[in-house]
Amino acid sequence: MQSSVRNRLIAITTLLTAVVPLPGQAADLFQQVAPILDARCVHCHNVERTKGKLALDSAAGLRAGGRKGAAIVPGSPEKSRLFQLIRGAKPQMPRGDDPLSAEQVAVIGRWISDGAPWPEGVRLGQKETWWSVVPLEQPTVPRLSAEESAVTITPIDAFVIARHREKKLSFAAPADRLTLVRRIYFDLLGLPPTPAEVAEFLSDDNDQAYEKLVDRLLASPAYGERWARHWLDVVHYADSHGYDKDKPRPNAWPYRDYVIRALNVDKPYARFVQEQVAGDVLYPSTVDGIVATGFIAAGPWDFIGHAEVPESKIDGQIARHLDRDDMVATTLNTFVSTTVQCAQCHDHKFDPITQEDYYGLQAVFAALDRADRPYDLDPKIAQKRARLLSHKRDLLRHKAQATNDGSEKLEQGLAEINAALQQLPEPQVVYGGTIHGMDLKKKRAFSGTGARGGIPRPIHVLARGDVLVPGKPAVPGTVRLISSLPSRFELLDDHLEGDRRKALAAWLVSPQNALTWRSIVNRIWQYHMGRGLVDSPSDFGRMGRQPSHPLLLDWLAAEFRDSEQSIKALHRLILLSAVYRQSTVGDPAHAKIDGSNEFLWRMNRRRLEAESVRDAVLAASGKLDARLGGPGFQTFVIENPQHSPHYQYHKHDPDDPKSHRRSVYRFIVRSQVDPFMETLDCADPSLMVDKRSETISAVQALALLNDRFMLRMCEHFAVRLETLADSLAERIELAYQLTIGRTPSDEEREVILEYAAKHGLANTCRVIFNLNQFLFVD
Amino acid sequence: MIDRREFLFQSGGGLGGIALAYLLGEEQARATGSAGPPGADGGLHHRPRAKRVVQLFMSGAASHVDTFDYKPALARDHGKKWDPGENIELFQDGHGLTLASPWSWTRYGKSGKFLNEIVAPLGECVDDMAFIHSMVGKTGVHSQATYLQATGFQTPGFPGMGSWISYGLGTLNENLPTFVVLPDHRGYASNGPRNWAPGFLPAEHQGTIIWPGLEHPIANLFPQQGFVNPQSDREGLELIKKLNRRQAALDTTDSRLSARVRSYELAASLQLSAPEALNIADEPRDIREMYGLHYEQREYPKEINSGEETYHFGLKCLVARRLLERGVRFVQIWSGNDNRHPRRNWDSHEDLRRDHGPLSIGMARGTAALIKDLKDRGLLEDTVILWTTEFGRMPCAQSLKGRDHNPFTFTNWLAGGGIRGGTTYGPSDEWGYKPADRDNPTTVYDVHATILHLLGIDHERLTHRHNGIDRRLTDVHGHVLHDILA
Repeated sequence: MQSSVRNRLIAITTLLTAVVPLPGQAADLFQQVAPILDARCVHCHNVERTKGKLALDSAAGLRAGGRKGAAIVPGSPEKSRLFQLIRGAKPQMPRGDDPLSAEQVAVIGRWISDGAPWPEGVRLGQKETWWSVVPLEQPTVPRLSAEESAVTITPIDAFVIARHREKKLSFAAPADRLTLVRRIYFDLLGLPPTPAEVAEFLSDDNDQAYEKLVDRLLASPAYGERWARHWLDVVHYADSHGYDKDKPRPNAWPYRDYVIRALNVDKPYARFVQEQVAGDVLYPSTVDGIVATGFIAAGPWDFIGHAEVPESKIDGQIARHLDRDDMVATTLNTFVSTTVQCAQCHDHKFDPITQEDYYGLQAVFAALDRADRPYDLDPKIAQKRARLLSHKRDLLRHKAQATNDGSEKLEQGLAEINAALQQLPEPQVVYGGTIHGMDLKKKRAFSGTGARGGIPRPIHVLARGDVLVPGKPAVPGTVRLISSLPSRFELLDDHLEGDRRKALAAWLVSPQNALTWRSIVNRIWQYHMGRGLVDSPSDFGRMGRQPSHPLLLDWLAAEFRDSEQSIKALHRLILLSAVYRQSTVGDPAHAKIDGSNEFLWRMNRRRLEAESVRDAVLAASGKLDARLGGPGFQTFVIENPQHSPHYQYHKHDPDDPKSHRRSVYRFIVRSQVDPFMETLDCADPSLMVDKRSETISAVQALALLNDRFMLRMCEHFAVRLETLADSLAERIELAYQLTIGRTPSDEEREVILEYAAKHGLANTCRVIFNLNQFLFVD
Repeated sequence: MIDRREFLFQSGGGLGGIALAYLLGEEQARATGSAGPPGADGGLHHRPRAKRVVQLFMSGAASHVDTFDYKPALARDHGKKWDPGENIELFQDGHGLTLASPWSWTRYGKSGKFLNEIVAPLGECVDDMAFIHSMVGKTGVHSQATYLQATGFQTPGFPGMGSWISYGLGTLNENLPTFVVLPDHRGYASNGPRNWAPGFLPAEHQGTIIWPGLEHPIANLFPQQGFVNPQSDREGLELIKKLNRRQAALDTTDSRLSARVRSYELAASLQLSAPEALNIADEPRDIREMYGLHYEQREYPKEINSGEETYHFGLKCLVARRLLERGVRFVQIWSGNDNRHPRRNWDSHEDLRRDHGPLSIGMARGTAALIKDLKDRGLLEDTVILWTTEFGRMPCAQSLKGRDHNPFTFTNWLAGGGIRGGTTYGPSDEWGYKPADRDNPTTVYDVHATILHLLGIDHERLTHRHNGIDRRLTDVHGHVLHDILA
């Protein structure tokens, strides 16, 4: 608690153009008091949020006092209510927080004794002082010496060098081409380069050979498959519900394919964000507009708490409360790197996020459930269906609100709409965030708000997050972090639930919302470099990390926001930099200055992610099926799917060709993560994973040695080598090229050959798949 | 500040520290304000009373009023309307008449604790046990409630207690896993392996699943493909080691490379020590019989039966003892499969006799054997045993012979290192409906805080930062239950 106070930045902004300064001693006293008020009081007592009708952020507020009268009596601390409430062994204020220190109390006492001086025109507040919410402007690129300029390629390098200068660091040597080609294939495609692709790059003597390679890989559909997985980690996508009776979600995959597609077509980022939060409202007749709502439904869902317990029961209300919490947390963590979920039970302890803000966000999603929703591939049919459904929703809303008058006509209208809907061709289905209960299928396991025309559930600010203690009604809105954007949405009295999401989407993609732009460029940077410029990618608040290169972060964020918002252009910018092209081995002396390589004096060596290990093994073995998209493949046998499915991974046949597709198409079970992939640190779909953990353990070694998939692929790899090359030596040569991307050294060749001659190729492939050089990318 | 990995390497890796240190994927402050590194005896923050834990989890919700919480009022009012004088919301609306336990109650031990007939084998152990009858949950939904008891949170994504303890204290024997899970022999309970997932902690803190009695009790321990023979396996491991070591030497600043070399050495050790630990053939006959292994192994789903329950639960208890002896720090034993029909867990909505009878007697035989055996070997004094379930069951009947969910009160008991035996703490009200003192219920946070306390850990100081929050096993709650401590 104390540390948070220390870390908090002190903000003194001027309200008027002319600040009237205080005389010397008074100014000193105010300088001492301001940080205390700012850190401990203003969070709840400010002009926008006046707990007890008291605002302590300005002289006017201080003088006006609160509900219980004057806050201070200038000259007399003992008579001042403010002073009475903060002193003593168990003071009433700050409520629910540590008391002020004796010194702090004494300072405030002296200040009141002296008449509580406050310079006119000065207001306290924490807004826009924290690095992540400061308005985003593009900094100028640092000026470099001629010597420094010689090693730079892009503006990124100048920012990194500027930090090197301060820390007495310098770039490692550029990586050789062989290293670079393997690095960039795994980075952009998640796959190893073939020997032919390596040879092509090595022999390309064009000046622009590397740039050409970057462009070619960015244009490959495998790029979207690789990078979608990063996004799916963050939004905790899976193909089953989780919790008890973890049932499959057979229609989740269109959202996964949407993410792949969006990346491959390089959808402008603002559009990508808007579609996921409110695509069904903003772009109702488009495929992407509907399937993108898979984002809202990506997380876990408690089948029992929804389908077997009605909303009228407390347990049903708790389940729905937790469900909305996941929607809110996922949205804010993903797009603006804000951990709003802390404010569920109490105001955020470290960031200026209130319970009212949090429940305002719950109100945004209050009409929605996670369920199958139809969509049409043909835009004309889509428009027709959208019109009918909107009409139907209106009628249902009228029905829910109206008296008996005209009910017959309403029923008739509904019947006509239903009949017209029946006439439309069978739609596609995606599991998304939706108003549930308007399914074309009559029978449904649980009811949402659909039958009432999608009127949002009433949301209240819950004391301690307890559904049994509802407080005042929540107002649809968002966090109050961006002062130039209103946090409470302007909505008409008869607005539709979608208007709330539309407003949230607009807030998210506003050029003024610095969080959004800093967040996405930081994520992209992290996946390339192995570490974000901010090493807490989903938390830009006070409990998160500070940026290592704040100017670079802002330069990239502004560049990205103010151009086409092209993620591919951002990749290119990073990949072409000298920073990216360094060797992983730098000057060992630098390790003493910056052991964790925060300042990028070398490239980070990366361990292959679970998906890349599996895909690379399939590719080497000649088994990889590169087909794009569609329903996921299973690496388990499902038993008892109707009631409580059992996902039996040990019964899966690793030779099943359906399971030889890229790992991004794996059917992801939430309650039982594929044990092989889990051992290799794949993302847990119950968690929003902003950065994968990277572990090394005996269990992992055993999985790579003995998992049935690995063993079968060793055999396939051996057969493939036999067909492709004649002598054992050539086969070993090729095995190295297909896995490690280079030929073995003489020493390696000798020991491997000796082993292969004795134990055969399959055993040799097993050894190679367990080498550090296969599992790490330099 | 010297980082933890470096510290442990420099300190020569005593205390089992090397294994811990290199297995750490990412450095994180493990325990804030910790006085020093954890030792083999535990004790991050103070001197521990225990160093090992056994958690017995009854999946489906075991009835407290038919096992450990004697309520004469239910027999007195049997068949009468049950009216506690307030609105009662039941999970399946199973609000029937007051229902006496179908079995009898008898006093045991010096403490004179009443136990139900279906847990009678534990009668010999009551003076080693401390009962908490005022446990309260948050919902009557199995999944959320199971998560709450297993991980301290209602939603998925949080590490289990075993993962936290592995994270905090590390291993006692690096040749065996630190946290072992012995699932019900029929399969997983509600939520499956998420109940012992590492959550945001490094993956090596997840529970390792062992299926005692199966041909391959641990996944991937040995290659099951013909082309790998013992010689090619051994020499292959040697070659991997040689080549990986050579590569690690090229960049000594990257400790992950040498850590991988070591991980293969540890894997080889596990291949030797795990089969030895699981081999019960050398257990004498009287021990095997004490654990009930002479009972028939009749298999469900023909009918749920006490022979099968006794055999399988007893086997897990015996294996648990062998693992604890060899330095496994945390063993979690499950009784009860998922919520499918016919019943194969403790969720007795329809018929207590049918499910609770055999499940409970099987559990009680194995558990009593485990307590006695640990005591005989001097291991009980530094092993904590926790018996728990996701919630309790109602005082009234559902479908005449069953009981609906009761998240408002249920029973836990603890035994072993640092626990005051023969204690009954926090009584429930006269029906076992809610705690007698409603203002002072006991929560899972208190139980978890108490177990961490016994292990020498201050539950408020064992934290891990995730998405901007310093997470704890006990969230922002929890008080050590000093009344049940010796």
